[in-house]
Amino acid sequence: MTALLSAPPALAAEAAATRRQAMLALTRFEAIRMLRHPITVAAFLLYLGPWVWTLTRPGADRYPVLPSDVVTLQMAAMLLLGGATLVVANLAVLREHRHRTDAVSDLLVLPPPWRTGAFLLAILAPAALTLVVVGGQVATLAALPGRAGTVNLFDVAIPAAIVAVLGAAGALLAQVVRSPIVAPLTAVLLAAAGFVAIASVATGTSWGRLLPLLPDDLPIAIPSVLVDRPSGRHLAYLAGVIAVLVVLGLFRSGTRARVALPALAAALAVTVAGGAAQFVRDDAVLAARVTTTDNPAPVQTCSSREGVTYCAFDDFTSWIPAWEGVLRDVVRLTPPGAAGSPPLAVRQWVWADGYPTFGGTFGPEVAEARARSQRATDTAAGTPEAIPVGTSWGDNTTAAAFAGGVAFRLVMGRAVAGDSTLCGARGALVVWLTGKANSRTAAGLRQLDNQSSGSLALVDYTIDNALYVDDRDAAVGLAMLDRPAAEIASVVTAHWAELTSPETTIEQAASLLGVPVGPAPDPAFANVGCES
Amino acid sequence: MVGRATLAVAGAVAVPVVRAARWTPVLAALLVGYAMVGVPAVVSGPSDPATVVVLLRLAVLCAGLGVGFLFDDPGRPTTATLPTPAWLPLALRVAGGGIVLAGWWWGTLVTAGAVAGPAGVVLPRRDLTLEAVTVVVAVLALAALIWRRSARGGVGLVAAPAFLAVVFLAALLPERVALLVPFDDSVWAAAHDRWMVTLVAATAVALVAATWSGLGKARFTV
Repeated sequence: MTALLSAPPALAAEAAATRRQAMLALTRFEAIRMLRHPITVAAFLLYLGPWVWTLTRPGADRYPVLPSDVVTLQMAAMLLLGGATLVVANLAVLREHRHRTDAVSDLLVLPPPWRTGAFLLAILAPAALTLVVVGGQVATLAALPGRAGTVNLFDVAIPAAIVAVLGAAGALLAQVVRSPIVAPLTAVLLAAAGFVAIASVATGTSWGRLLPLLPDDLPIAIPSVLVDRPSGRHLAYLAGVIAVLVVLGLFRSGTRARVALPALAAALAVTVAGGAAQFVRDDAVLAARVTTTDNPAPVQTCSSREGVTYCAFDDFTSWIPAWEGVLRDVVRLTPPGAAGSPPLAVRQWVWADGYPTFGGTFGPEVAEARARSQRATDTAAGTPEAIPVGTSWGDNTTAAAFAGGVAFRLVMGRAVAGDSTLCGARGALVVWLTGKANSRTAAGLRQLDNQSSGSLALVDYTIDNALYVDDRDAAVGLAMLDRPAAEIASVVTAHWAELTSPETTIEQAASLLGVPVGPAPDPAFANVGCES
Repeated sequence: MVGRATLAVAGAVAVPVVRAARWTPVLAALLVGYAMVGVPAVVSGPSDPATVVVLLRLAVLCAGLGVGFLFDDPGRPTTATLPTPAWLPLALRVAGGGIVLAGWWWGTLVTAGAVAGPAGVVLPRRDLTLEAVTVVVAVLALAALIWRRSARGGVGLVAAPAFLAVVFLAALLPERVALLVPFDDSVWAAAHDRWMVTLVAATAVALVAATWSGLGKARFTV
């Protein structure tokens, strides 16, 4: 008898269809296993739990800046969701080896490349879940009344792509090294690289963009018009990396070189093009950063509320009611008419150019020049002596720094500009006004006091000016906070002119208010350069 | 509890047990952990002690991933019926692993001193060793709990991700009870009291999980 060895064409087509069906069935099975794997469940809980807590706990920050918060989400997604998918995909591909059934699988109808394809397709399940979860998070943040900035949809998709990259990497690693230790070690190495990349943004390096996540190029939030994030190009780069990993995985499991090599070349081309394109800077945005740091007025919207003018970047105007609340709380503590003229104003500043990294220029001359330019900008924009405020809001220390700026304006009759050091009665008064305004500024003042040494620094690190109060004078202000509020408030109202006079020493103020004052320091260590 | 017969058995099985342990994952983890400190030693200049402390913690994290694999015992179904207590070969494996880990930690600390350069004298070697020992014992406790339930002896591949989850949770601890505090922080000493408490607790869990055979379980006797 002779056997017919070559199948008729109809049978071959049927076999291909059967294979496709079998692959999809395996994909479905693996996808469900991946989604309900304990590691995946734990990772999603660990990812969402702390995020929900930071949003709902008492005193939570309800003023997110969307472009910055999206980067935080990407880092967390890479660490937890990406790391979990890396390990889960690795374990799934290793399962046959672990149970010594690889020889049995060779007898199945589905050839190895198709089986690998099923595992790779299954990774789409955790990636899709990531997309849904991150989309929900961003939508929640965007729905907050205090949110600032606009969100780029590419940035919302990047976490899902990160999960797909790491899943494909886990599957490939399982084919190359048959040991379950490799995936967790890779996750740790990637986490370390991610932290280094985000930390080294401050030194001006940008190699972190070659990682799955896309770090920001500034450690502070900036208005959308100044954002230069190559999110779309990064997503193309990630797509290229996924394609490379997929082709390598299929090639490793037996796909013919005739098919695999051209596909690999195409995938590499996309990766290199996308990877290189993310390093192209937008010169117009960089130029805008320089001009806006010097003079933010042209890109701002001003609105007047109860006689006070608030100027904010267009996508930060939702913070104006919050600023107004703190400003009112400070003004309430001062006698009527303390503000004097010109009328009170608040202007938002951004430090988008020359943010101090390892270099940067410091010194009294630089601060003096900065103060002059700030005054000139404010005067030209019609809001002379506007109180500066930065691009961060929602936490206690920022509220305290802003309250300190408002108090400085009320006590000194001019705005904080450059580096200012307050001494004497006025220093104590500013500290008291800051701590008394509301519970947030009080908590923030305590935090800033714990952080600073030498002088109490009422500093918002997102803007380029600083208000220091000499420690001995600040101690008097902190002691005032411990005394009965009504008593101190009545003394402050009655002796406002005396307490805000540069001639009043801290000893005179302390005896007037009935609080103790520390011993006078050695003149050699006294603060020089006090504001006059 | 430990009679002369047990000691004789321990002496007889020591070498085969240590040889049968899965060393490749453990050694791979230790190698990557050493690289966390060794690579900066080669490629960069002296780092400040705070950075070196972070690098050493990363090294210990990698080592912790590998420790669970010491418990892997594919032959467990065949040894379950032997009169030797199950914890005995386990103790021998852990002792062998402990010797390797001690040597690795000594080498890593020496390299870390080289990375820190002249500032290396301020490295809190005693406290960091306490952290390293606590992490290893905590992984042993975790692995022993998994080992009790694993009939086929696959422990490391569950212990490693579980350990990562524990580390993530430890990093989230609020400042009042934090363990992973930065070097030179004012709460460093208080945090290391907590590390000591963790070490004692982890040791207790590890010992109980490895030796306890259940309360009042009715045994079928003939």
